[in-house]
Amino acid sequence: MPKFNLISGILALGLFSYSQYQGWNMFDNVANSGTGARGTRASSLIYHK
Amino acid sequence: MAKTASCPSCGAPVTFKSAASIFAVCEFCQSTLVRHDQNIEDIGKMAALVEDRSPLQMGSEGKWNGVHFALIGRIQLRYSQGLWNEWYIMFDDMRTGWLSEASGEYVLSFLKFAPEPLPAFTDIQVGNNLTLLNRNWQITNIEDAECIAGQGELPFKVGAGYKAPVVDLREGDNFATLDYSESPPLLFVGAPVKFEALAMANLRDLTAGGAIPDINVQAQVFRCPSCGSPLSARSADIKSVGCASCGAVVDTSDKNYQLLSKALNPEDDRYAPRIAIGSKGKLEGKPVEVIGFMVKRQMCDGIAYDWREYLLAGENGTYRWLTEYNNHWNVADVLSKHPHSTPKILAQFNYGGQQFKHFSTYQGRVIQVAGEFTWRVARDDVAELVDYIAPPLMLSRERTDTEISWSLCRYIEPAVVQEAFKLPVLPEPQGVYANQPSPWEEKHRRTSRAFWWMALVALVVQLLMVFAIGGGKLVNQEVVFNPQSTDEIFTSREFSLSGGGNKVTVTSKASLNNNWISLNMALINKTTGTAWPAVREISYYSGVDGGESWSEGSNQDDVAFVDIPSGKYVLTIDPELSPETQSPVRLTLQAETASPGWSNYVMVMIFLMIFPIWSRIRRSGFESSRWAESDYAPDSDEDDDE
Repeated sequence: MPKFNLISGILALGLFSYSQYQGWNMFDNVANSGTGARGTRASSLIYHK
Repeated sequence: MAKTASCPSCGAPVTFKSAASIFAVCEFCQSTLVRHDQNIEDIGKMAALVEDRSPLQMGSEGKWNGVHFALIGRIQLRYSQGLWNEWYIMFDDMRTGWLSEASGEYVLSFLKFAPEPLPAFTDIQVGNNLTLLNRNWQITNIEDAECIAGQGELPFKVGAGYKAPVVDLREGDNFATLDYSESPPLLFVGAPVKFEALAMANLRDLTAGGAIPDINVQAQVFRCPSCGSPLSARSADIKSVGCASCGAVVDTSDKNYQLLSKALNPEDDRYAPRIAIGSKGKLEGKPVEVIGFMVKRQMCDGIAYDWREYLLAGENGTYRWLTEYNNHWNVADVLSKHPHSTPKILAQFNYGGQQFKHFSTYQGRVIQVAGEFTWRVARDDVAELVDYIAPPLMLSRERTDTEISWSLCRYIEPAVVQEAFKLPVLPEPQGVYANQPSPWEEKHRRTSRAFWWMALVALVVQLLMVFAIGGGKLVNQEVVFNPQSTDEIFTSREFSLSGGGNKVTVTSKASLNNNWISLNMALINKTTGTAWPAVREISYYSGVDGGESWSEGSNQDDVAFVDIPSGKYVLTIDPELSPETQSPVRLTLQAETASPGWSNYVMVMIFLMIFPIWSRIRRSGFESSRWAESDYAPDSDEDDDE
């Protein structure tokens, strides 16, 4: 049990640090939610004007 | 200076090692000799000593406070519950004192002048306090003892039948005895001592193979006067024997083997010991033998709570106890040093650096006895018990009309008992026992410690992110959209992003009232032409309905563009106004590289807190179960109120 707690806590801290570095925030209204973590540019467009 | 004379009866040499000795027993013919100035008077034969389990003998030597001493005399006394020895000792510096030996407890004491008058023997009550030598003593034992035999040299004239009413006093580490055999009474002051601390040498060889004496030819072997089963008492220490066959209890201090308690009736509860009497084992590395078993009962609200006690004979004439309740086990030692001297029941007190809390006060009644005991135990003997706990320890005070004794109990797992006596698997404990250590105590401590470390790491990460990544203003512009020219597309001023994976948040504040506006945004990389679109709608409605004002929506909207690569950018907005819009809509546009928010920090903290909160809940649940059995259980309060 204590090992489970410790591993869970360390994983949570790792995820927290990475999400802060990436600027993830589940309360944000993300314009291009299809991009980012997956590294794709699915919702970006080539603008021609 | 030693003085040697011849025994008037047998001519054997009799030596008086101490100048204070006026009395001696000839070791050859048992004549009791009184020393006068010039001659020695024979005043008759001294009764033979009763064979006991004492490891001491005449000539045994030891050390106390660095001074060597030897045992030069002994009197054996009988009291209501058993037998004890008083050894007369002489130090190398010619001081004399007494080493008292009773049920494995040793007390060293010295004759003192009593500066204040001592109370009459009949005025003394167990549990009361007595101020003497500037100390507040508690009266712990009152005995109307009788000398049954003597040996060696002694400082006073004594013989079999010599009456010795004595009162024991305790105050912390100190011990005193008031001896009412003389007038005025004598005062002896000293302290309990550990046998090992005396570094005794020249001890009796009690057994050939071990420290615990076997039942041998000196043992009393007799038949149960109730059922005829063979019984035995291994030494004169044993004052009562319970018959395992019929439950009768026999007084072994009387050669007529009188019954102390009748045999159990068929309707009486009868318990079988989990550890058979006679079982030998090693408890905490020391050899012990189970010699007695008794069951005690507490009645509470008409419910009987029974527990079992096993008397263990140990090394050097010592005794220990094992107690068992609902398969919870404790090993108990009788304390020489009483934790406190007040007769009151304290809520809590400190003993040995631990804080003990009062748990319960109750009456225990003996309901079954089997095997040998060092005092005259009988069924229906009643004592008041007060338990104080500091898991895994428990201090238990037992009080009868004539004695107060304290025991220090330590909780042990059934596996320890099982291993000690090589027993088959013992049943699992039921419920939570008073001094059972909480398995959640250590888990909660570890979990809390880990939580605080992780919380600190999370805070450091958060602060580092805030200061290192930080937020920077990119755009702060105002734009007015006219309903007449909605085809115009607003383009912000150019701004630059550096590094990879940028997050750009755009905040739009519109001057709207009972209206809406749709914003078709696009973040455009001026170099590559890549665009990140976002469609946002801002709507705000308000009014008064039935005298109450209301509002719906908001004038402000936030949108985030994530994972934006470095480059030069502009933000474009293609507005769409509602057809009802008559007046221009003013829009304040702010774009900034977002600093890490605090919401993730709050979330991770909430997640991390789950673990210590959970362990705390479990710990509290365990403690609630523990205290539900105490005098402080919530139910007992309700019962009291009723």
